[in-house]
Amino acid sequence: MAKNEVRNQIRRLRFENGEMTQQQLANKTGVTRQTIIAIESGKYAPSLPLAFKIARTFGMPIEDVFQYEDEDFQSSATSQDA
Amino acid sequence: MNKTQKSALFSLINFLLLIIFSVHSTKVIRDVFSPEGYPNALKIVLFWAFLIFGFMALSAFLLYRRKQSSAEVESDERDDLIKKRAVLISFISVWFLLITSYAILWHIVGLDGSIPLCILPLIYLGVFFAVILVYNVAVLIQYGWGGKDGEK
Repeated sequence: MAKNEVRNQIRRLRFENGEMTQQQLANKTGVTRQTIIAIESGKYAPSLPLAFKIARTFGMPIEDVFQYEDEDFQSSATSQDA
Repeated sequence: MNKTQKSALFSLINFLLLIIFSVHSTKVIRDVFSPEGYPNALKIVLFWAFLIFGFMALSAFLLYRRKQSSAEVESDERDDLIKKRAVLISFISVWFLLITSYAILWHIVGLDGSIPLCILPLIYLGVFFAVILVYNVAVLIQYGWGGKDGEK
């Protein structure tokens, strides 16, 4: 079975944005601190609206904050290119 | 720990306290009706009452105390998802427990056997308590029992 995973740069972006705390980010995006912790550690994939909110908090496009890794899609795209 | 997690943990502890009290009360219930054993039995019942109501009051205080900031939210989409899954697990467990208990009864008394009428409500009561237990445990497991939630 292929492994699908949503990776994120939240931890790095928080530190680059004036060492923003998890609680501050949680307050800005309207979620609990536990949810930010779960997203950062990759245990929870946020909904699309929440992902957009987080990206907008950092003033960045969503692709720069979240990356979706799909082995199935990548392997099929590579075989089509070849 | 957020409100949902705390609520599940407190419910679970209260529930376990009530079970211990129920088991213990079966030993002292006879003494309540005898003049010799009455003072001792009363002490035991009062001890348990203070313990359970004390813990309930503490739970309520910890759950409904003022938030540190007005921007702080009490629950979000992840909490809703966790609660939804816990309800689903509880619902499945209702069917599982009912079918299991009926199958056990059928096995014990056989096809032509009979059971006292009071057994049926007791089964429903037991399933009701078990479902509360399942719901709270399901919530806590999904949060990672509080400690393993990636908190650093």
